[in-house]
Amino acid sequence: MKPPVPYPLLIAGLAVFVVALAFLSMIVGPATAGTFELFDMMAHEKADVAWMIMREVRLPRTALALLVGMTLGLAGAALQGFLRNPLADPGIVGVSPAASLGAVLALYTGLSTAIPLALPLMGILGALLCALLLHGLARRGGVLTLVLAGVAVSSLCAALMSLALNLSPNPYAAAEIMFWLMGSVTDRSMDHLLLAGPLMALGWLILAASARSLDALSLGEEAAAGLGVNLARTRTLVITGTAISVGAGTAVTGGIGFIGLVVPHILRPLVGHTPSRLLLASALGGGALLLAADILVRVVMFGSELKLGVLTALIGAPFFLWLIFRARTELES
Amino acid sequence: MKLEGKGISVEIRERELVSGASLHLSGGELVGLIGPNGAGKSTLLRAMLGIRDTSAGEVLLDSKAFLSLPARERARYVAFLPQERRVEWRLPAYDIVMLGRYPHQATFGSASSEDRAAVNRALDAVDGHELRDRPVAVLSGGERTRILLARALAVEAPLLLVDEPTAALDPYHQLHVMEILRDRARSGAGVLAVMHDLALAERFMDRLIVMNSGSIVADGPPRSVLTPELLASVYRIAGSPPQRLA
Amino acid sequence: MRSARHMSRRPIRRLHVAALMTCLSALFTSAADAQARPQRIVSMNLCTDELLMRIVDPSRIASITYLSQQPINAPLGLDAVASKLKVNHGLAEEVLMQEPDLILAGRFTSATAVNLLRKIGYKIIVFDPESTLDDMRANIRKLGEAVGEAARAETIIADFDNRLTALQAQIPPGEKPVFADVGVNNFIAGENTLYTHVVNASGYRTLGQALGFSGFRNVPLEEILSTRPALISTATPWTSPPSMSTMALRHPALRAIVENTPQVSIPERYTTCGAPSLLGAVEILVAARKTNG
Repeated sequence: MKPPVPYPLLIAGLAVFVVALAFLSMIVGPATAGTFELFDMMAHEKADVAWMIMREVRLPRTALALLVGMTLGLAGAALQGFLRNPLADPGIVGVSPAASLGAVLALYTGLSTAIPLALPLMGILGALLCALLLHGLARRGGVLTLVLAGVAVSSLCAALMSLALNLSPNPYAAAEIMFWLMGSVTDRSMDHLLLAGPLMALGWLILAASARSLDALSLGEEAAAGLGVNLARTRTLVITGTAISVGAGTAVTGGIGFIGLVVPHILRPLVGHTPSRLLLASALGGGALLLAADILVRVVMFGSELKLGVLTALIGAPFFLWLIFRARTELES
Repeated sequence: MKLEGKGISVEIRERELVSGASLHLSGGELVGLIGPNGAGKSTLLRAMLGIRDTSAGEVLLDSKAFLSLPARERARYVAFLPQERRVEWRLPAYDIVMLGRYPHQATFGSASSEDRAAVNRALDAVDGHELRDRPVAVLSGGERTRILLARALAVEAPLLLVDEPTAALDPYHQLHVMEILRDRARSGAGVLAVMHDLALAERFMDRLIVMNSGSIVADGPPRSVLTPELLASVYRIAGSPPQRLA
Repeated sequence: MRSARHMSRRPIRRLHVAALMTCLSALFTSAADAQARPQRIVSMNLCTDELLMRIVDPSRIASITYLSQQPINAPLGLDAVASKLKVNHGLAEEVLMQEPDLILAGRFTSATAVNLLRKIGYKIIVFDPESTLDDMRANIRKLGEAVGEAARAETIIADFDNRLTALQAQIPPGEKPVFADVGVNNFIAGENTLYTHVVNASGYRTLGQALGFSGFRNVPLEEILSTRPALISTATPWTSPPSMSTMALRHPALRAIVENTPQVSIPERYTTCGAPSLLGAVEILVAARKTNG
């Protein structure tokens, strides 16, 4: 089908939307601190504090919401294209659970209280180990082997995280692990941004290199191979790119679900269903959605701040259900 | 341009699917590869393309090792239309045909005017211009085959390997597809097609290669190949009723 | 409120330079002051909230956690103080706006916000959760020194110890009977927990001690039934919405024990923190011990 909007216009529109949301994210404060309190502070000789809050709190928070959202959207689009399955998302290959497990172990062992950056570093390590494991398991098999290996890795990671919660030394540590698992970009520092940002960018480049192969894969693996697509190389690019970018993102923010599933879905018809064009569009869409969600958790307060991952799941799960129902009616009609 | 397979064998878990098959395809000829189900025709095709590993033998392109070329270069010399007709997503026909230009484009490149010209020529060849904006997923079987064939033609490779191009088509569309392939051969390309319809094969092909149980058992002009003895031994048509062979 | 602020902007602008000078001089003097005794203290942890409110004058508290204003958490006897203070929700941004000169935090609370504030350069003192009464005394001293009120901290410790000794004097002699608290989230306290130390100080043993384990643990109903508690705890305000702890008490197998055993209800806020509020729990348990022997 012909896209309803010309591709360059769609990308430009999404980019403008992202910039507008990023700007909004810089000026909107948490409801408990006063949504527009910063402007009052600037007018009342407290400009230095206001600027510091902008620079040290809102800038890394905004940048991380944007970059992690972009990563999730991009990786979701790449995985759906590679697996040729509209229900794939970065969680399905086990990367985000593995990153979460690494981070949970940092919390559980107390390493994260000794070294603040141990948490994201362990998360990244977890994601990379998962990628190695997937390479080993899925080297000989096809797409199905990869998905099954991913499901196995996810379940194992979930079990080990439950074990950590189960054996956690005290209720406070358990609560800390649970809060972290819910996913958030609140109060992340420039250190987090500098650690995860370059890795996410590296992962994007690797994923982008797979773009045209994803288009050829629309014809099936055989036809793609006949067109000169190196399937093993494409798989390596997709798994490695996802592991590095989503691993780095999850390591800093905790588990944020459904962005990678929902965003490619919404945007696919708008790019004329072409997998390669979906990558950039989904990245921008993911960035916009996560920025919007992060602004929403600040504005809507229920006593304490709602966790970002909880909000995306609250929006994403019903959408997922709707997707399944729609797919079913399409099959039955 | 000449593609040559010499003593090709393909094994999977100790079982030999193709054993010592030798064949060749030159520019300008339309060749049929026939044989009963499970004879190893598709496997041989994939082995010749380098999509499937061989356990013995070599593939030569104008006397040079074909399989050691980079995959993309191989794809520029030999185009391939597999049996699988499924197309993921709701991609429009034009975009599908454009995928035939993949081996000619850089990793981050976009379509050149030459690519667009090649796609238009391919759509001309299959008479598919009126389908260009429709999603392939909603096309009829005949329309879809034409578009996928146009995708293979858009590669504009000197050689073309096609796996069962007429499968599941009505007689009218079968003839249409065969005519497209014949036109292609007449314009100088070498075309090798896996076929099941012996009547069509006899009528259109310049040469037939017959496979049975992984080996090539005959190779020559249709009339000299399709003898009652061969039909009896390979297809079990004369003596006993047709059986389902796995 | 907002429009009032807008209207007041003009005169402030006019006095810009003068105001800035006053502010700067105020900043220098308060900085020198703060060196010795911090004047804008933020507490980001429920337990440091209570210690802070007991040790310093409310005028020196920039904010406490929103939890301390909730009736179920408000520390013993401090509801009135807590309700007048500003609060934070553990967000770095709120704390920055309150311009603190000292931040108190718990080891396990708001770790990301605490790391961020420390990185920006704020003075932060982190308190570990207490597992003994001596831990509590150490934390009170630590906080007292941090805010320049060492003497006040000693007074609070002495008051606590005096009151505790007075209560303990009322405990009837004899072996300590078992007090069963099928706690929130099914956690049962064993050896080496603050909860157990408080229960012991009040003349009882905990169920966890009777079962012989250390730390907190989920205990199956069978094991609970194997002991004969002399006193059981029932729903606290925290558990009054249905939770596992109250459900366990409704189990038919427990009902017989529940019906024939004396019960007490100890509000959660008396046992959450290693702080003088613990005396609230001790009072309830000692009273029960006096009544039930």
